[in-house]
Order: sequence, then structure tokens, then C-alpha cells
Amino acid sequence: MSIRISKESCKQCGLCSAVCPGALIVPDKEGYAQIDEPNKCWGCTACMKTCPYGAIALTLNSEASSTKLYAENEAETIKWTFIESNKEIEQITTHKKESNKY
Amino acid sequence: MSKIYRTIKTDVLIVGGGTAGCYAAKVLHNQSQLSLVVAEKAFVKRSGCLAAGVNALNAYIGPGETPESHTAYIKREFDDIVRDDLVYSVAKGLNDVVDELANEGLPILRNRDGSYAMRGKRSVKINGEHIKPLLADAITNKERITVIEQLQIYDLIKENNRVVGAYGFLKEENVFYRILAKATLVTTGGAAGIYKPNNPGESGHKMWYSPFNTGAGYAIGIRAGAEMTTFEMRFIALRIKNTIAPTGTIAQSLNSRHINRFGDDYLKDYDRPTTVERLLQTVIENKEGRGPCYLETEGISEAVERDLYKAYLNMAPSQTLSWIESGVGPSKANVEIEGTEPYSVGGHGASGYWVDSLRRTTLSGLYAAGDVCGGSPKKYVTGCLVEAKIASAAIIEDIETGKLQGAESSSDKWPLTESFGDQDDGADLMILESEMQSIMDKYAGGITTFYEYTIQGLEEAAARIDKLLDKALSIKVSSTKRLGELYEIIDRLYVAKVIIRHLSARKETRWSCYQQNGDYPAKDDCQRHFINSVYEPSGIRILTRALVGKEQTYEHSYQ
Repeated sequence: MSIRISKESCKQCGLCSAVCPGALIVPDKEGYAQIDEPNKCWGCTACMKTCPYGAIALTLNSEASSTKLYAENEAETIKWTFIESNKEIEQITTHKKESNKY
Repeated sequence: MSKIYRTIKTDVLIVGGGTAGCYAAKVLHNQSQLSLVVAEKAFVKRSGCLAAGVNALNAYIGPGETPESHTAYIKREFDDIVRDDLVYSVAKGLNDVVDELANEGLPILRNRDGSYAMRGKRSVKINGEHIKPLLADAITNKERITVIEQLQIYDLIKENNRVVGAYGFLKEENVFYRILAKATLVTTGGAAGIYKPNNPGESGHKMWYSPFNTGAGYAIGIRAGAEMTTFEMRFIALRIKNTIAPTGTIAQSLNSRHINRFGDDYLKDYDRPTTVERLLQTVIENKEGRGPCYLETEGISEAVERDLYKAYLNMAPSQTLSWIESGVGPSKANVEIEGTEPYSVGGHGASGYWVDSLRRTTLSGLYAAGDVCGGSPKKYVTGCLVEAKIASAAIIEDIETGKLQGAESSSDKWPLTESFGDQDDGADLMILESEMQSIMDKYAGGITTFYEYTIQGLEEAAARIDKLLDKALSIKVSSTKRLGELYEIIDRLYVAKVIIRHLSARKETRWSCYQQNGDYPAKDDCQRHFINSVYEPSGIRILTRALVGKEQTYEHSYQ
């Protein structure tokens, strides 16, 4: 389990580096965000929720086929999207002011 | 590479900017004029246990309950070995901090009359996805608070038997810090990663407790000779298999039965099973061939399933991802559960610093709150906040009454640097870590032995851990990033040594799984006391301490 950062989408803003609870994300030589030790990722998704460009996804294993989870953090909501082989298979929206019912 | 040395002075140093640390900084800032430094290993916005979020505040005094009944409940859960004075003082402060969080914008589920909707007697349901940024925002951009991020603290500064600050280094640069302070408050997490985890290898950090909590807060105190308590009580969580996500959301809210592979409710013979008993019976089912074990969720409605997806996204997103990826949600398949590896954590169990009623440790100038503070289990998030408040009040009092003067000498010592220099011997630190985890797993009551240990096994563990520590202390690294990784292992090895000594000192089985002594499988009421320890150059000295009453004010007798 780890995050994956897309170099194509990364805009080098550095927000993800400054939020990782393990300080695991550092810029590569060109300045793109990079997780240097994916096996140390806790899967908290703090970076995903901070990235304004949708460049970060969470996967449960390192296989290319594994489902990717993305988060779009809006003012009132977080929109969670699940992508499998470039196809959206599910979308769930959580409301920030709405408490858990369970 | 050149090294940079910086010395800074402050009134109060807070080691660890997690739940308790952020809140302590807020309280100290609001209630005094003291200058504060918060030393944070990563970044305060999401660091610590609350990184992903949390679904409920599990320590709250609900309707019909009182601080007295709460204290009695915790005593029962831990078979009497808790510090009643500490537990009671936490209980009395819980509801105030919950109200404070609500006022600051934490969404809490409410009934029609505006009261909090309870999950059981002691939990309120929240949207805690954003709880850590809420705590961190309160200490950001304050004139008297200096937050230093990516600063790893590695030792306390001691002067005439008083603690007057700490040494640290920055992770990404070769910068060393000496922070001199009148008071030092340890608020780091406890220790994960000492035992072999459920999922070693690629997903080694797929665990319940923050894998970044590597026992530094314990280790600096152990090395400085602070008295520690109850390290024999490890904490083992019952979690969802593979993702190690929490089970309370399902077990408590849906009242799901715990069933074995034959579909039998294996907790049906317990009247009100304690947390330990739920774990123990799950272990027994597996041991006796009736596993795997499940929470029965098959047949829940689609609406409930949808709400569970949301609940987990706000706390443990990998669980929702796992359900979606497999295409089989909890309405279609029961949720398999398992016990985790043991952790040392004073927010759930009782291992940590031995403190007086106001959270002063046995070393003058050193205070503890939250997961590193011992004797007060099941305090959880809100209890950690209450403890931060209590410790802050003690610090303000001790500084204002002139009890703490800070460092006197201007000695320019920089210890440690033996490991650090121009040469890096390229040691594989991951191998060192997994050796430690294997030793503890096999010989000190890990998952492999169903948490049970024997005295002979502990002797083996002690010898092997000592050897590993010698090896770790001889490793040479040439960057502070590597030094940080090395210290995360050295710190855990010190904690491991203390765990082993404590496990061997309790010659009974007081809490199954948490402390299960194969040579002494029964409870022995002659051992209704605390087991404490002090790390000395000659070895670890074990002492026993009597239980402390609820209304009693416990003070250290400094020698």
C-alpha cells in the first residue's frame, strides 16, 4: 500500500511534502514530488487531499492494475473517485460538516 | 559535509507536535506569557495518530455516567492496575475538551434536542477527518510559539539531575539543535514497529498505530533515567484483516456479532466482554482451529453500507478502497478481523512515564502527557488533551514559582556525534529493523506465539536485543536523514529492552494477550501493584509501586 504521484500532473507546488506525517515526500532532482520509500507510507491520504492537481492516488498494492483512489478537496466536500484501468468505477462524496453516523 | 550547530533558549520545550503537543502549546500560549518551542519530527498539520482522521471521540462521560463510574470502568477493564488519581483527573476534564472542540467547528452528531448522539456510553460520533489541522491551526503563526518542523529530538539535556532541554537535528539538512528550556514536556507518540507487523514487507506500515511513532519520547526518558511504568502491558488492537482499519465503527454501531468460521457468536458467553476479552477470544478461536473470525455484516442495507464507506474514508481510506476494489462490500461479505502486533502506547494501554498527579516525571523539569504518559489507559484523543492541560498548568506553576531556573552552565557539549561523521558505512537499516521485529515476535510474545511468552524466551530476546543495540550504536552515517532513521531503530531497541524486563518481572498473567506469561498463566493477587523501572548504567532496575487512590495526590519523593 502506498501513494503514487503522477509526474505529468505534478506542478511542483510542494504542498504534499509539507503535510506528510512521515515527511516521506521530497522533491526529485527536477523538483517534482516523489515518495522515496513507498513501503513507509501509512496510507493516511493527507497528501492526496492537499494536492490541488489530482496528481496523487492511493493504491493497496504496487501492481499496475490495482484500483486508484483520488480525492478532490473542495470547500464543503471531499469527492473520492475510484479508478480502475483508466475507468471510473465509483465516486463517493463526503461532506465536511456532516458527522459520521456510526 | 559541514555541520551547523544552533543553540536556542525558550521557557518551555514541547517534544512532539501531535494531539497532546499541539493542545499543550495552545493552552500554555493562552494561559501564560511563556515562550514555547514545539519540536516536530514531521509537519504539525497532519502528524501523529490523527493524520487520516478519526470517527469518534471514545472518551466522553455520557448521560448517566460520571467521572467516578468512568474511573471504575477503566479499573475493571485493566484488572485494577491503573493509576486511579490520573484516570479520575482525565475523566473530570473529558467533557470540557469535547465541548471546546465542538465550539471550534468539529462536527459532532447530535440528537434532536442538541445533545450529542452517543455511541455506547462513552463515545460521541464525529467527522474527524480534519481534527488534526484544527488542532495544528491553533498554534500556527503565534508570536510566542516557535514550531520547528522536521526536527528529531534524540536526547534530553541534563544538568545537576534536572532536565534543561533537549538535543535534536533537522532531517533534511545537517543542522544540529540544542534547545535550552526551563521545562520540557514530552508529548510524542508511543512506539510502533517494535514487533513484527501483520503485513511485513511492502505494506509494513499498513498498521493500526502511526508507524512514525518510533518510541523517541520513551527512549529519551529511559536513557536519562526517568522512572517508567507498566511496559509489560502491551496494547494489541482487534482490527480488520489486511487493512488493519478500526472495527469499533462496525462492532459498536451496528452491534455486529463476532462470529467464527462456523457462524457461532464466540462472545455469547461473556456478559460484558472487556476489550482484552474480545481480543483473547478471537485469538482462542484462531488457535483452536475455529478461525478465521468475522464481524457479521452480511445483509446490512445498501444505505448502511454506503455510510460505512464514508465513515472509513474519513478515518481509514484504505478500507473503503479495499471494499470497492474487491467489488465485495460489507453487505455481501462479513468483515474478517485479526489481532495486531503489540504496541507500547499510554493512550490505550498504561505504559509510559511514571508521573505525579500533575504529570511531572521523576526528573525535575520534565513532564509527560498523552501516549507517553503511563498509568492512565483508554484516555484516547480527548484524554490526551486533558492531560496536556493538566501538565501545562503544572509547568506554569513551577516556572512562575521559580522552581525551574533552566540551564545554568554554558557548556558547549554536543553528544551523539559518534554515529555521525563524514563516513557512511552503508548499513542496511531496514534489515536491522526487521531483525529487531523478528526477535521480539518470536521470543517476547508477538503474533507468532499468540502473544504468549516464557521467561526462557525473554532471556534469549534480551541477549539478542542487546547485541543488536551494540551493532546499531556502532553504525556510522553521514547525513542527518540517515541519522534519523538510525535513531528510530536505536530508540525502539531501548524501549524493547524495557519491555522485556517488565514482561519478565510480572510473574503472573494479569491481562491475557497484552501480558501473557506462559510460565505463570494465572493471575496472582499478590502482584496487585505497578512494575516500574529505571535505566541505569549497570542495567535496568525494577521497582514495584503500590496502587494510588482516586482522591490521593501522588507526589514523587525526589532522592
